Amino acid sequence: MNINQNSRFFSMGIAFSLIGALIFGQMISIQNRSDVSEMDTYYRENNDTITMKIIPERGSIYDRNGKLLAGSREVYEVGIDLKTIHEDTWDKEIQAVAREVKAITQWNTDSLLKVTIADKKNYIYVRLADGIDQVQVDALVKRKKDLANEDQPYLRSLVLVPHLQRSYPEGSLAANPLGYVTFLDSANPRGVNGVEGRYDIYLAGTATSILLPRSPYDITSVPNLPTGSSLILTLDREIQSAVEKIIDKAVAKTGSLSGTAIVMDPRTGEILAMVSTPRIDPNEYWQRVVPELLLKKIPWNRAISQLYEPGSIFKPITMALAIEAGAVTRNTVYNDLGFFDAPGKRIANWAYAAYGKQNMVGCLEHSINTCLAWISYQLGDKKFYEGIKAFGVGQLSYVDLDGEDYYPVRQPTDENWTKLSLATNAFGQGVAVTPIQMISALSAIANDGKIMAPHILRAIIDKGRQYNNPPQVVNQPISAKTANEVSNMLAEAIAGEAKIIKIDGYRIAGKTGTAEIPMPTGGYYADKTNASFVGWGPVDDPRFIISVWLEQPGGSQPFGSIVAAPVFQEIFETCVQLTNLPPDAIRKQLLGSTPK
Amino acid sequence: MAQQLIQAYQQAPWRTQVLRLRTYLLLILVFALVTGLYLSISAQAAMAGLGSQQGEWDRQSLLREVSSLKVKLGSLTSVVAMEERALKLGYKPAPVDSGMYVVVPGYSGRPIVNLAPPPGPDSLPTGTLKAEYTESLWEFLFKTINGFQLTQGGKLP
Repeated sequence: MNINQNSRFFSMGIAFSLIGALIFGQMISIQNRSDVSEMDTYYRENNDTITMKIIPERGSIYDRNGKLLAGSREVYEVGIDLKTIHEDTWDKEIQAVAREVKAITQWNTDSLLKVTIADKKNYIYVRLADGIDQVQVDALVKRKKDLANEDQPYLRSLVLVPHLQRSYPEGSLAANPLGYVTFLDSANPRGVNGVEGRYDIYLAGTATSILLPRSPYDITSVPNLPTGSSLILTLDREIQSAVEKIIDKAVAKTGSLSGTAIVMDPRTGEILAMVSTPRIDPNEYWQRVVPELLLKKIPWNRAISQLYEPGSIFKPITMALAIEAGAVTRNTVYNDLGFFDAPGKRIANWAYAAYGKQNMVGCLEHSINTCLAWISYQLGDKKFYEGIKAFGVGQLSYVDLDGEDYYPVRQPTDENWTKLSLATNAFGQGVAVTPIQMISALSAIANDGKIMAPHILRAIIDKGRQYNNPPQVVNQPISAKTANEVSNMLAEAIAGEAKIIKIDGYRIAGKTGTAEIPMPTGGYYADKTNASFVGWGPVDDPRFIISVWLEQPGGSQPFGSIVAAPVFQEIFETCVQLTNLPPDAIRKQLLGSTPK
Repeated sequence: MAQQLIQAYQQAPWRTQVLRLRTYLLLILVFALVTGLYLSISAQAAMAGLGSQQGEWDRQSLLREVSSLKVKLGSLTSVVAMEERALKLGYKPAPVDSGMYVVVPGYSGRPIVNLAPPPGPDSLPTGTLKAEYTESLWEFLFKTINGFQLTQGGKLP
């Protein structure tokens, strides 16, 4: 190698080194430029990751036998990606999407026609429809392909996003206690009324937003969020379905404004069925709630939300308190003259009837208002009001359903309370209750004096574990002895009251009620009544306590004994049949038990 | 004499150049091998990442399908559907007094439904992706060296 060659190599080495140094220097320079740094930060923040909101699957709701009452099904949100629409064919594409989506999904897409090219700067996506099922999605996809084959790819901007939506496979069954979910607000669905509202926080789970890196090198696992907790209710869907049919039939037959029924196990407070009219299919809440309920001021579930004066079904409470206090016994005789002079007003019986000398069973059998007014004075206002408070009258029952209402009872210390109030309150006038409060109070008489917390949640399934909800005693307003005494008196009374209840093989206790309806301006309507019946059985070991309330039945005999008692009987017979409860004699024979 | 000896043992210039070239090519080859290995591993990691992502979407899709099928089953076995089916098959509602009651030894009525096991010890949630899919070559190298040192040259202390 001569000197020339060496110098050439040397020169080239220097030249390449200089070029390399320049490139390296430029790289350093670019890296340190502020605008490049800002751009890098911008793209890192906006493009390196995507924010993903994970809404866990809403927990399911089952009846007491594990039958699904509420679950979730896959539906699609249909939208349009404005970025992908060509400006040259803007109008054609917008019109095509609006027309095709409307034709297939029946959703009103007229608002899409108002979207302009200028909106592309502000919006990138417009939602057109939601809750679209697979059949409609298949039709949309087929239409999209057909148009593309015809060289008219006007549906290319269509976006189909699958997600879960609340669904009620039983339709309107148990709609009153279940409530509904505002699933059309798919980003923030919310439980409203009933179980869905009360346990929304558990059912919904915890939605979480996570940042997912776009780069596949930085992939991280998506957290496996647990679904919302599932609930097992105390409801029995077979009983619920049967009671709904019976109530619907009774409302139609009697021409009542509404019908309400509750079936409860008095030993545990478990609600087996809860029915009121009307019932809105929760799958269609968005179409029906406003016109059928809200505009007419009708509550979703009358059983917990509608207050009414109970009338004569309240009498067993007064009687139980009086017996408990020793103010009367079952053999105490009351001489009914057809009226009772309370301070400020003469109280009369229904149809101004006079029943003469009656013991306390007779007072209950003939539902003598004057007798109960007299008893309340034997008892005294202090014991009466303390007693009905212990029964839970005028207070929330705290049933685990959203939407419960209550109306406090006027107390002797209140300004508008008079001595007359005591007399009328004693037979259920001037007090307002909901059906759940009334059945809860009377369940004490059926259950050895103990009121069990009325509840609809039997168990909750959280993170794969089942937590059972044990029954709880709320209060014991009377002793077991008094409760059994009154229960037997009521059984004798309804057996004697023109034999309004006749269920072969089963001994039943209960009370009819025909209550007047107060006017907003004071006084009572002359031609409107509420007919009700609350009863339980078998008397020696009650499995069911059933409350029936028909609001303003029509016809010439809108009485509890005529219209509500037969409904109770039908419901009781159905319950007995569906739960395989044998007649008393066979049950005692099989179990070797003796009557109380 | 000394000058002559040095010249006698000096390599021919072309041999020196070939030697340098070989060394240079060897370095390039090593660099290419390391680069290729890195690219291959990166590509595999990216494929695994994408596969994992796809698997996640598939899992979500399957969960939605499972939920939908449960609801469909609920519809098919709903009270109304079952009643319609029973009536079509010729069944009739039984009258109340038609039942016959017998004692079945050991049967204590319908049990409380259990859809999940009772409360018990919970296990901590663990990640689903293995470290092999998330760590870099350097992390793998350092971890291996560290592990090698901790085990005292591959042997347990």
